[in-house]
Amino acid sequence: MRLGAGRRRVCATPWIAGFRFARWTAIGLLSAFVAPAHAQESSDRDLGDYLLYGGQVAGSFAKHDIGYFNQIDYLSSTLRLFRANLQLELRVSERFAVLTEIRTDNFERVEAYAWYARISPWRGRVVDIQVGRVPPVFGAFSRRRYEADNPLIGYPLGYQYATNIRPDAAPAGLAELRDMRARGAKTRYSVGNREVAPGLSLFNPIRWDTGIQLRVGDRPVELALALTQGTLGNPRVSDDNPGKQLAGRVRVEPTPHFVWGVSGSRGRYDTRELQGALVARGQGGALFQTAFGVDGEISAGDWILRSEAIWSRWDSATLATDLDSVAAFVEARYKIRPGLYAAARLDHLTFGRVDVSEPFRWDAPVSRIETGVGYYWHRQFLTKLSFQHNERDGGRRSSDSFVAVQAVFWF
Amino acid sequence: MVLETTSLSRASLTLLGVAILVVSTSEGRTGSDGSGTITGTVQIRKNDGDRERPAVGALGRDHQRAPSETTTSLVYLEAAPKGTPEPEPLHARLDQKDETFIPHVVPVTVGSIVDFPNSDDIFHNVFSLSKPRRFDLGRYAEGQSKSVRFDTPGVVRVFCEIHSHMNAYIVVFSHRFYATTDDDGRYRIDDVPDGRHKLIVWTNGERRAEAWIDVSSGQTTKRDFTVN
Repeated sequence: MRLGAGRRRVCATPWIAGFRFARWTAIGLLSAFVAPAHAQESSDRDLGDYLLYGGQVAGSFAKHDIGYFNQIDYLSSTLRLFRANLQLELRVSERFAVLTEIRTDNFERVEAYAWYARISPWRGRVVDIQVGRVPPVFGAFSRRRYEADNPLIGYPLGYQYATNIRPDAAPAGLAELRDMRARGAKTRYSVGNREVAPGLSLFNPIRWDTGIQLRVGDRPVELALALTQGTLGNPRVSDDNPGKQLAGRVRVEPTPHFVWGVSGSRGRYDTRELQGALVARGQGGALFQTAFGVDGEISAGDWILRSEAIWSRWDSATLATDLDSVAAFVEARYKIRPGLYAAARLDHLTFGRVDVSEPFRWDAPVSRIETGVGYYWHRQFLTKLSFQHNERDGGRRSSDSFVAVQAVFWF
Repeated sequence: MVLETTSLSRASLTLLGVAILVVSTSEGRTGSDGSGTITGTVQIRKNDGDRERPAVGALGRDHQRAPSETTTSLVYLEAAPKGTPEPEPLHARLDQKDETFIPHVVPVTVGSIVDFPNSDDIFHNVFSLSKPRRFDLGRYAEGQSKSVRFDTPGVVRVFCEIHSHMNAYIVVFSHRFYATTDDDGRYRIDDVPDGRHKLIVWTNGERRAEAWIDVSSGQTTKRDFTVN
């Protein structure tokens, strides 16, 4: 395999071997724990003791987002979305459970976005192994992205905004990349897949990745590691390249007032189609997305203040430089009276400069402010009203504002 | 007083069942020459408790928690006997320990104050959106306590905003004729004016059984229940 511009070469074989090892280890663990644990259960359990269920129905409405500021998977907007999900947990024993989440967005498709086995080998110790399509370990918002947990309606930019990075296509040069600034929703390049398609967000928490995950520890320090098929921006069920992603997070809670975490991930994001095109151009070589994240939460009384930053780098085979980006937000929520709160989020996504002679940011930076209120009519019924304003340094629509409403019911 | 139960949801029934205690008159005849005792047991055939939601998005299972004490039942007169005085307000306590509200059910009289101490080394945020008393105590740490006064009869469901599995009931009565069951399911209501009274058994947020009972002066009337 030849490497583009004399750059990186990473042998995928250890990853594959590692992943196969992990898979067979997981299967072994399943075999070891299911049968004996099941045998220990008393016979008077009914279905309700084995099967837990929950769900959520959420509807958001705002004007059409023609600038694609709030686009998520499949060109849906977070501000104009109907989402229903059903979560099931089959507790086979105290040490083994099978979990799934079935979801539809705008009734376009019904898919199991999560399905995995959870193994807790030691009773009384917080050590869990999860195998299958597993929840992301990276970041903090990824676990708060359910509509009932998100104080506002929009998502943070780093978790949603489509950049002009494609896993299956690449720009032939800087001029082509410059032409695609602010066009992440509909990107087209000449290397690899030449169809128009949306680019990747720094982190896609909507679709979950597939692999094996380990969580160790509890307060005040918790560690989570995952070995999965896709990448942070492109989680996958079946892999489209020979590389895997390793992601991890450490969460520390030194005092009840303060929680912070650091996350990291590195995984190969280029598809076989793109790799084939790059090899044909003499620029082949594994391309990785590498990301780091920091997050913190301070809370007391009626206040919660959260902040999170993600730095991401995508390797590029066709350009002389890698493509860096940083997303950061600060979010606050204040409870005005029982059931009523106000929230706000300041959000910014920026991109590294490329080209030595005439530097430009490889995608158009975006800033966003979103403020809103939420009211709980019932513990399980929440309505929100928010105002969001976006500014983008480029594109046909460089700014846009939205008033959005959302109703969320969960059980 | 008879409730039309068929068209009402369980939740509405629960609220109505206790809110109706506001009414200070009773269909029962009240004895004028004394009072008696009602005692008995409540056996629960199958305790559903409060089902958890599946933690699909969690990285793993929560650490081991003490199970909620969901076997406690309340036994009470549906209406206060005529002529009985206003009950004295109480000072009760609903602790937060091991991510569990202890006890699971707190019966109090109108005007009572309930303390909510946090005995865990983490934050809790006690709140209720129940009609008889909406409150939100915000986040506070171990060793701190906040209090709420309950002036309206009814059922107040209490939750923790941070830990969704935590829940409890505060049941506010307009009379003093109620009792909670002990670990063996036994209950005892003393000084009940003699006469005919409707006795209600309430478990895990629902009226599970009811019975008319005759109380005679100086006598102990026994009534056992088995509920689902």
